[in-house]
Amino acid sequence: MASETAQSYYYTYRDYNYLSIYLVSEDETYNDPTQEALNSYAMEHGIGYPLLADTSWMVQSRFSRDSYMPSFILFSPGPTVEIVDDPELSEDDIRAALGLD
Amino acid sequence: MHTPRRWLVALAALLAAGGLLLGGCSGGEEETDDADGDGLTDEEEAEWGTDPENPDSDGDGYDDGDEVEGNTDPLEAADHPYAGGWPIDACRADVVPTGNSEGDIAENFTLMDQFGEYVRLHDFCDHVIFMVAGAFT
Repeated sequence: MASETAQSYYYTYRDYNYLSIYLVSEDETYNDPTQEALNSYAMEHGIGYPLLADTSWMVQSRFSRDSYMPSFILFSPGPTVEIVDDPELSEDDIRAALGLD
Repeated sequence: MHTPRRWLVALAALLAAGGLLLGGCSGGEEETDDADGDGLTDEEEAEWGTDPENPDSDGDGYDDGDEVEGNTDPLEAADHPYAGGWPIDACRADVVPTGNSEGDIAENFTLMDQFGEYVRLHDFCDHVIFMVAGAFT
């Protein structure tokens, strides 16, 4: 699950100037996510990083050129857009951006 | 013959100890230079324009010292540390976006988080960010 991967990265690298962000475009009933739904999901899955309501894919569509979900975007400090929509974006890419390799 | 001398020595020691004690007490009673105890000295409060007798000058629930340390504005109630505890980087005021393609400085966005607060991408301008776009699955 992508949110759990993001959580794993967050707890591993948050002391190295790293942050995970998860954009949620719709809830289980395909409606805009409410704050209550976000909070409930975060509590249920122990998410400690920002879980954000991206209504109508407004932010995702700025970066992503396809409609596949989940999509992944990596920023280096700036925030500079480093990698967009690469299904092979991996922990190695994050470590490289953090200067840990 | 030696008794009076020992008394004098003992008396001198007592006086010295008393002096130290009194010195310690008076030092503890000295006024600090942070009248409201918010983590900013009165001099720093003057520099920031905050109230030296009010730990939370903008009334947003966060002490002035915490706001300065956390790179938020202690005089702007809408600008305060995130309830989620996520860091806010000082560079956020200097970000000049160029676009949203690879190699660009990303445009800002503001979205609601799980605490009902609005999170801004540029607040994390000094961080590496892994952003996932998906759904509740």
